[in-house]
Amino acid sequence: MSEKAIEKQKDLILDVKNLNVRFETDDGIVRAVNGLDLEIERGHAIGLVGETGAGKTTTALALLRLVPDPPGVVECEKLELDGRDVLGMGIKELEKVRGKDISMIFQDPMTALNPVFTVGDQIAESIFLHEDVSYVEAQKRAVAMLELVGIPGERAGEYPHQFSGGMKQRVVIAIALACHPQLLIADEPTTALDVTIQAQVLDLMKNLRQQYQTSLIMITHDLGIVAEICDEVAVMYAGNIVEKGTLEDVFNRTKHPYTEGLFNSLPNIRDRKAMLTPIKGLMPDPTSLPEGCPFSPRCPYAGEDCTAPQVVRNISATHFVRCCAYDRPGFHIERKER
Amino acid sequence: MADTILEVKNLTKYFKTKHGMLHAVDGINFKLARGKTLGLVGESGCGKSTTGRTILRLIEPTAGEIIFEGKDINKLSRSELRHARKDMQLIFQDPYSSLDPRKTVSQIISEPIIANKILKTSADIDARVAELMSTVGLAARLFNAYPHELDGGRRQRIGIARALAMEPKFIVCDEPVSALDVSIQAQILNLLKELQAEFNLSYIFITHDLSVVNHFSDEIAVMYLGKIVEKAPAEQLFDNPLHPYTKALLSAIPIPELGAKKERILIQGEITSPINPPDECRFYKRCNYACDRCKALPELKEIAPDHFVACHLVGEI
Repeated sequence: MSEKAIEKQKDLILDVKNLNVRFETDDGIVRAVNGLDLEIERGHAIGLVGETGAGKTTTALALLRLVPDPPGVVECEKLELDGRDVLGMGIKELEKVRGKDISMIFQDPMTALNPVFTVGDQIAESIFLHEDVSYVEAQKRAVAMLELVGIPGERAGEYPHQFSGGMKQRVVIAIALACHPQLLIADEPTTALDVTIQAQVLDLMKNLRQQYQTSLIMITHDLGIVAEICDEVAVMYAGNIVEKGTLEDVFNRTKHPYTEGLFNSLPNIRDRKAMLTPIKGLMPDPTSLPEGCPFSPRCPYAGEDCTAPQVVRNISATHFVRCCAYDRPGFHIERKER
Repeated sequence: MADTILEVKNLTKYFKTKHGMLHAVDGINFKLARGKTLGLVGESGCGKSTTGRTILRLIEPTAGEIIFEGKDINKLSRSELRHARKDMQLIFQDPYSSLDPRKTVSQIISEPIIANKILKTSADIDARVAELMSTVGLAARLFNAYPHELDGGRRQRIGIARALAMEPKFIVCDEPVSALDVSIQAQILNLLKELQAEFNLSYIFITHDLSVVNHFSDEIAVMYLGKIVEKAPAEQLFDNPLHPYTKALLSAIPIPELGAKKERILIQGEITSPINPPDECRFYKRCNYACDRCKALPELKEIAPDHFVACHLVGEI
């Protein structure tokens, strides 16, 4: 089969082309997302990895068209959810899509819930708004959702402050999944939780995803979580994806110097004597990004060619990297293939 | 016995609440050797930060002895304590809230030098601040900068410089890298290790991040609801965890490697209330192996050289 034919067969749940988000502030224009392309196949889970300020959350908000405007300005060539154009939707139509076809789990369960409504009501609200059911029916389903995420149904009448952090995050997950969305965006869903609770929540998400065939964008800074729950990884730096591929591609055949730097910064649990090799310097200021490759000022392999605009290099059908060093003959990074 | 800088005996801190006595730290014992690091791990609410602060007497202990360099810190008068504290410092978790936003970098770092009247003339003080800044890798041009102008990693370096200003022998590091990104986290961890080697510092390293503690510590104590449930040299704890809680905790770490999938031990429920805990094993309600024997509180016993476990069922599970 030719590559074009494969291309056509792809069943995309999300197709984003050339997404740009900037915030026009008094201190200058913050370029948060810069020409990002992202395709997600139905049923796949992709990990969006990067450090603070890489533009992960802004990308997610842009997909839901939730970037505050002003100061945010979103420009995008194509934003399709399940073949439907999200860019052209009016506010009414958007409200039907949000929470129903695409939903989001926010990072902090302590602030994502409304303190003056019971958790049962908060789950039922989403069902009542999106589906043609009575409020009583919606509440019944809310109780069922609560039990699905491992909370006894009789606690539906309690308020968020009566739950612990892990339980609140389960409630947030229940709200996000209440209408069986096709695409779930989880923004650091376990960052605020302890490891044993994190293990419980990840386990729950894995099971629910299998049960409902939900596609997932997992935003995280933890490569361990990606290894556990995702099929693909996209590494973000300064508002764009610098490397994307399957788990094997990115973890075992790392290509981008930034991805290499991320792996080298992590303590190795098997070799505790190994010295950490941090990435030197800091994330560039998004109001004045360097010319060409934004990682070049911190990159140990940087050369003169790095000031040219970066283009994508395809390594394989599933793996691409945004690094011009691969045009140099025989170039390879130091991290060995595993 | 190696040169012990700090010994904690039966350290206890209860807080009175309207619902009853909150057992934050419940009779813990450990020793810290000079120039070494003891990692204190556990989940939120297990009492690890309270332990760190009680050792410095920032919180008054309810009972117990804190023997630092042969003196019981708990018995010192205010002025003696002030003197002793020069040798014991604290690095805080949050580099955003632990620095006074209205002071410049140099004012923050020089504050302990001035308060303790270590140096008198402003020229001497400035020179010392500049020296400390270069020790922790802060550029000299930041001398008059304010904390809000700096990122988390640089702010944490200010906190470290401030802690070093008194030339301490011992530092409690309370989650010093939790608020930082991985690439910055690695920079700070490397810095703390270099400083330890250079000044022969002893650390208590408090964290919830097990891969960091493994990398950083010589010995690790795992806490659960105010008790140390297991304590061992880092390598041994990771290779051969014996307490059911330690096992579950270690199995819950997501490993950034493919094919690293291992048996995950999920423990049920969440940490139980530390208020008036019953006299049973603190982990009883969540433990997969709990039996009748666990209704008696287990003691921390030495199972192998330097490997202590508080569990009735050691060797059986």
